[in-house]
Amino acid sequence: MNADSVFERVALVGSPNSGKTSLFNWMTGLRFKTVNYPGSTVESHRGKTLPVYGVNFEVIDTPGIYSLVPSSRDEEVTLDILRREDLDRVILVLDALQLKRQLLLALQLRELDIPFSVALTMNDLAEKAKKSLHLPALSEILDAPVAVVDGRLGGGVKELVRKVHEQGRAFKKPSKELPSSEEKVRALTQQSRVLAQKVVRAEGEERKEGLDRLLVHSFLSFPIFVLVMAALFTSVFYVASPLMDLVDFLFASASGLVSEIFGHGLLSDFLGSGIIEGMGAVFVFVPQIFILFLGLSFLEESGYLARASTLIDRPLHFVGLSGRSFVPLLSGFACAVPGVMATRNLKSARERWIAVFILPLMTCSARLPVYALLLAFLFFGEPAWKPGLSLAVIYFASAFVGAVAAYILHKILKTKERSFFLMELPPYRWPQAKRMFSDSLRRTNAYIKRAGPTIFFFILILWTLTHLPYDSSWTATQQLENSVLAKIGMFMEPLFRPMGLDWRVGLALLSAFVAREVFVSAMAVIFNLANVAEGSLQASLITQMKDAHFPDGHLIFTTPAVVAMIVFFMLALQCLSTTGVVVKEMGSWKYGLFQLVVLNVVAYAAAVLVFQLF
Amino acid sequence: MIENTSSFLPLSQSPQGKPARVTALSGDEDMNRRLRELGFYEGAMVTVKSRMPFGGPLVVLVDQFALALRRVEADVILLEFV
Repeated sequence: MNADSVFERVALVGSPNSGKTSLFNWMTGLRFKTVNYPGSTVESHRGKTLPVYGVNFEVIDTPGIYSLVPSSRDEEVTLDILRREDLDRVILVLDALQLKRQLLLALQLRELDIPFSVALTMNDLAEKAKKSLHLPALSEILDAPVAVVDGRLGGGVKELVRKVHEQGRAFKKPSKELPSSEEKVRALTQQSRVLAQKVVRAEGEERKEGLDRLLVHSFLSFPIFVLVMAALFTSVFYVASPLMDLVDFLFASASGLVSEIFGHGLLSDFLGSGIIEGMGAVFVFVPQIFILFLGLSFLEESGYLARASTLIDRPLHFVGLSGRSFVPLLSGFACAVPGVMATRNLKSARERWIAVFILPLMTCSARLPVYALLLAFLFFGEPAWKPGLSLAVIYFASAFVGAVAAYILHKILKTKERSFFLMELPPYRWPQAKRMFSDSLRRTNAYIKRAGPTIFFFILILWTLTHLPYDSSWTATQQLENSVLAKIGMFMEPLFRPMGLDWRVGLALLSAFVAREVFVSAMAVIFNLANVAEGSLQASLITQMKDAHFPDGHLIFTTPAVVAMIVFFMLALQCLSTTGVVVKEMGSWKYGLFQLVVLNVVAYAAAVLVFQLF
Repeated sequence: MIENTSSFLPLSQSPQGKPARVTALSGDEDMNRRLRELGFYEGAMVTVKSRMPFGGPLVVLVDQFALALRRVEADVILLEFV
């Protein structure tokens, strides 16, 4: 045992979708996302067992693998844990339904001389399939203790923990490599099949997947896919809108209350126009983000995402990607950061290179506040379907630009590497509402925690810069024009002028490099210095924008200027957290810098072009 | 050995809904290994469930597990109808 700790270190090893992460959650009481999508554990998680079990285990969850012969990153990660960690025990997680295939892993562990215990995950599906297993035979053949575990309800975990703890043979690091020759692999798979026949007493009846008749139907599947995606994105706007009105109302009331209590003055202005309105401008979008996460987790849990990846493989293959890129790209519609992390799942380094490059082009939730503001401005007082439709156009156009960029990279990057698409389609499951809700809440919360402090900090800086030097006799406009911020902005104005923007909007645009949604707060702080109209923050900001003009009197926010700004936001990589994650994930600052420069130069050029040609 | 070539087809050309037995894998070592690990070993029962439009992947049932694979990959899996 490890000298410096009283913990026994236990690694969970198993195939994708075998129930490893569920078991990990039961053992440790931690709540990592388990999704019904093969390959969702991309790095190893660690946790300590709950006191209920009466043991001190440190449990390590590893990426799901089909074999211990290394052919991808996931297998390398798992092998590395087996080779390098000071382990005490290994638990092999096998899905009772998939025993025939997964026994290969058991044989490979035996070949490597690694002692293990077996957690046989059974669920209602296994019960339904009426497979009866000969457990003593399994235990004897593998020379390993076997415990049956219910992954959904947690039954049997205590028994498993006890068996693992009492297992006689200590862990030994593997001293050799597994032979990867065709003959050896073939012999081993053959052997695992013979073994499975001894253990599985009765063949289960054929699994009925009625849903698959529709969802992966040769012709119907595509229209259904389009409908599902359309339903997801419309609900993001329609279901969210009353909630957004509520949040907007709450912040506006709070701001009104502040000015009533503190009257007119520096403090009142700081709290009301600075902090409350700046935060409100961003928090308005939390309902939308929550609903997007809710929809994504419904699709993941039900098992549909694996089918959708299959459907979309052909078009993605055309631009040098594969169906496996679908989930990272779709996550990119919430936020590029988890999207970039999800690309670890891609087996091909080249595919990953391209996918990471185009991920920032997907319309992330941080752009929503910006588009919502700019579209609300363009279609002020007009029926809601107009901004709605425009937003749909923006989403599709962004995805299209992403596809074109991927295609260009695909043609530039020469390769001999073969692209694979082999994907397991997990059985359909009815998603558990409670888990979906808590999961979406957690992800939304993480978003707020990431964005909240940054936005708060920048509002603080912006507000200070607009109030230095301060003179109480100045009007709001005079105050802004004499501030330090104005000096900085005017110095940089030549850069923004070709896009049709003045220094104030330019500053808001620059501040968006911290995080895109900061743009809206910055606009609120810079333009909303005058008193807020009662009722709605957004309406009062739009009124300010409608009045904003250049010193020579003509308006700033003309249609061409606003459209140019939208184009800029579609293309630009204005998110330093994304670049940070890209550098870390790709292990190359050159890649991150290249991406940052290319996307922003293209965005600037396109915006200038749009404004000048309009 | 294979005597009757008429009952011997790559998975990519197998008719929909008709179960068949895998007789051989004709890809390179790497490809064959990946396929075997996923359950396409000699003797496994395979049924094509559907083909995605525009030359997209096939959805197949291998020993009751649903899997998706591209046509080029399905090309190397040789079947015999029983």
